Amino acid sequence: MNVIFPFSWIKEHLETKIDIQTIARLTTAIGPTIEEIKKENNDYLLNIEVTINRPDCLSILGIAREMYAALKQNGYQAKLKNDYLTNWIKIPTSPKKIPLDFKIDSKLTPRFTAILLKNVQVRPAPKIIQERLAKSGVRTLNNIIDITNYLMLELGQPNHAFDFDKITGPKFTVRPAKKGEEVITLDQQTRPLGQGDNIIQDSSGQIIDLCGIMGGKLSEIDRDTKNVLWLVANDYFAQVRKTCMRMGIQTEASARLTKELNPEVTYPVLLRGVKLMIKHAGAQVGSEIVDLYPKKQKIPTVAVDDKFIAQKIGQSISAQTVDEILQNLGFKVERKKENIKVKPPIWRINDISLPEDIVEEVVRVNGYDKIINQPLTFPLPPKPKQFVKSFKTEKKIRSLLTCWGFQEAISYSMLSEADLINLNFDPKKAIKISNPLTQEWVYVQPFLTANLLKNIRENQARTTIVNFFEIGGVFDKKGNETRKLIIGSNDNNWEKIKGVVEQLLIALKVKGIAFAPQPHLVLEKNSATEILTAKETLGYLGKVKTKILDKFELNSKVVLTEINLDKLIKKIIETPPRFKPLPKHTPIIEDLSLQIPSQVNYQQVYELISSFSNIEKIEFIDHYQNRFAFRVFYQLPNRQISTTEAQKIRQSLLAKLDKKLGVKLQKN
Amino acid sequence: MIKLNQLLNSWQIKINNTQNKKELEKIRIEILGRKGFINQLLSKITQQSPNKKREFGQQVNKIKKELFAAIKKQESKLRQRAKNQSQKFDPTIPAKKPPLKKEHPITRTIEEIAEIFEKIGFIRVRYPEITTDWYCFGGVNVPSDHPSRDDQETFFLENKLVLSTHTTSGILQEIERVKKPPIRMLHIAKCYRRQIDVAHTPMFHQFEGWLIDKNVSVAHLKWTLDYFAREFLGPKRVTRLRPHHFRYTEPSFEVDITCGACLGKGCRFCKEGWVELGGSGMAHPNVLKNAGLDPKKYSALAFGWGVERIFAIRTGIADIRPLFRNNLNFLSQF
Repeated sequence: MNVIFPFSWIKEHLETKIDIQTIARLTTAIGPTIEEIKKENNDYLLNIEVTINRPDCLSILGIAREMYAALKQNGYQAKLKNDYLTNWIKIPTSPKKIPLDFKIDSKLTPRFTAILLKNVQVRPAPKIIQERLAKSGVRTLNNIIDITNYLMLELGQPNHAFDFDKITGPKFTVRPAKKGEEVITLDQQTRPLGQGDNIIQDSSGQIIDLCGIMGGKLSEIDRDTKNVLWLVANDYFAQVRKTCMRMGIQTEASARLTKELNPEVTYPVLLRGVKLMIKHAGAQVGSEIVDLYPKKQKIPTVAVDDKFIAQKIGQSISAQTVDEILQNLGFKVERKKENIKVKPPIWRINDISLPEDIVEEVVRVNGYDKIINQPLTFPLPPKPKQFVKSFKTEKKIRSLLTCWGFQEAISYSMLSEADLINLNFDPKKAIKISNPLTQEWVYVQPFLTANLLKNIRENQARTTIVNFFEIGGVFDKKGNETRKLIIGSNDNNWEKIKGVVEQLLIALKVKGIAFAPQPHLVLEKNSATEILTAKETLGYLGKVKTKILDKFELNSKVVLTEINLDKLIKKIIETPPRFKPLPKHTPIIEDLSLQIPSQVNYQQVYELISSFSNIEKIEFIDHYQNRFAFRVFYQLPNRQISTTEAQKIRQSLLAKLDKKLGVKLQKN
Repeated sequence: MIKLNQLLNSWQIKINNTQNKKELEKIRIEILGRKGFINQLLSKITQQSPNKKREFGQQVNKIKKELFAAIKKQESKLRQRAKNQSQKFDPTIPAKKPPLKKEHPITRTIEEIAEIFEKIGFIRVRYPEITTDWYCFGGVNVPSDHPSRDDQETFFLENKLVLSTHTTSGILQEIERVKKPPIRMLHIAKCYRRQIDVAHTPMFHQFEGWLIDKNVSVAHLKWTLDYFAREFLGPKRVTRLRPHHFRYTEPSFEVDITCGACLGKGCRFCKEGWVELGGSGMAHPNVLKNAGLDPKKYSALAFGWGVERIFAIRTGIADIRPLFRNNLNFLSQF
């Protein structure tokens, strides 16, 4: 979260002669990041980023304290002043009991303090308060409201003033709202309440406050306000956040209370506030202070030693420096030689509990730039085979496919319900997002197909032939992930995609690949093909059904293949190939044109010929209808083959082809 | 005889002097045409004495053959000349290229990151994108009331699963796999968060490094981060660490690098000269404890940065949303 604070206001708590640029540089190095310094008249407006764990720095005093620590650490003169959280203000006491009875829910309101202020005079706040608020981006109204805001910026703790005469006592209940209740807030909005929103209800049953976020309209301070019920409460941050998010509101108060403010701070803030009210609104203390704090937080003691600090940082820091750094930040340090016992200040209790937390304080203020880099000299872990193989394979696939003219895509892994239905997939079988961002992304993808088709559509207007591939996870109903590869093109060329699959599997050294016709939900009947290895399905390929193309608004036929990479990777043979001596003799090469009957497929013929001894290899040349041309290489292992021998092999080959498969030699 | 040879010579000269097809055709008709030179010669055969007729005839035939050959030769010479004149050599004309497309720019960035870290011994791993509350939050010290566990930030799924919001969800799984140090994990994966604007997409990529061993210190982390920034963005850029807050690390810091547009002077692209690279820190003892490691014995450095973010820093791309639209015109730029 970012805050904008005028430097002049910070200087009310920090005495220094150092220029703002230097202060900003040093402070950014130790904690709150000063992102921008804007000069305005005789002042500087600082835009400061504060991390979620440091709500104490969403205050003038908090920033002043960090600046002080940074300056001191770097040898500059500086003094921290008006530290109302360390030196508590004394206020006139009143023996009067507050005429009210508060009931709180200790989970929703860890600490609740209140006081009655009498005879206030409502008027414009002093100029300096108005100016400071305006520079910090807060609207000014009247002295009472301005003081509550001033106090919040000064010390970081939100608080609220009610017109005491507009609310009904004596019983006030701070409780979670029920469904159906509503509250009218100061901004005149009627806000329906959900279960759990923290509210205050008075004796008449009215809801007078939306705790930690905004007060109720009902008890608004106005010109005629005489008596003020003033409340400083620590509300449970997670509930404030929940309410804010559901209502879609964020106020200066809620922005602070959605972080974990410390309940120990509540009380001294009230004291400071009363002082301001007395000074600037003529208020009189009208009651004793109500302080409901059922589970008082213990201030932890963290034991650390110099050696531990040195070990974590990588170099030692002198005992004196360690102590100074911690003390400048408000910590109490008790040292016995190299051992220290550290107590955090009240505004840091939530944030400090471990020795590591102390290390962080010391190292950040000491300066990260002072640490001398040390190269890694630790032993190396062994390389995990499964990961190495997977990354290597994917890299190879990417390099081959891009060289063959396919562009890699990366798409959102989330799909709409329509995407699934359009691909004939039952949405009930896909894993659903309970809180989708838009209707476009409701399911985690069970396949890569939808995105491939969308990616082709994205480009079809400008590019005639679109070739894409994508590697990514697909997910089943239980959330199990399978890595898949999809390749596709819109040029209606089944052979091209099959060729890519075949060559890819050869390049990856996957053996025993087979293709078989297999019906598929997405693919056309006479193109849908299963890719198998050792009877296990690796994937499928084929032309996308026309109906699906229409649903995805594609204007040309798409051929695609989706391959299971997890399975594929298991099939890759990684043993390095053994050397086989090259044949010393020349083969006799012969082209055969074969007529293959319709019930026999190419693979059967190929396997039969390959199984023949003394046929070293065969090549497929071409085919026309049922006529297939093969190139056959006859070769003997240890001597030159003669024409007669080759002829004999051919004769027995043809005889076997005819007998087993009904394949005949084509006579021209 | 002499006369015939002279004639042959003079015709040959005429043929060789022709400058174009038309001239050559004219000469050809003059020689081989119906009323041409050869036929005229042949008609003179009757004037020859009977014993010389045969010899004369052979002579004429020989001349005819030679002239025919000369015409053919000249014809091809002229054709070649014409060809040379009309076709000049132009090496700037595009030729037929083999097909070539590219990996997605994010893939290439990931590969580059992996290479840089693999050189210093990090082991690249990948853990599931759909994960459990424990791996993603509880186990890495994110309390149940932390904002990152709100409906607004995280995609929740059926069966109490979540789409992993960060690569930190990999560390407990890595420790379970390796069991005990040395551990030097580089986890690069898709992550998901419920937001979309120019700098955020609901799916994005992170890379996360963890080195767990004895006596790992901030000094080692600084060395590692400086090494990466130098390798990835070049030696001119300078890094700084700024205190920050993350649940899984203590201390935590944000790593900044000098702005590439102004080199640290301060401009509209940066914050007073600096650009945020990503988060890092020393492992929170609870994370190690949750994985069964003794935080008194072991310590760890950790960093987790956005791939798209550092891609944007390097390329100057202001809106990262087109990255996953897969428009070829867009992708071909990188």
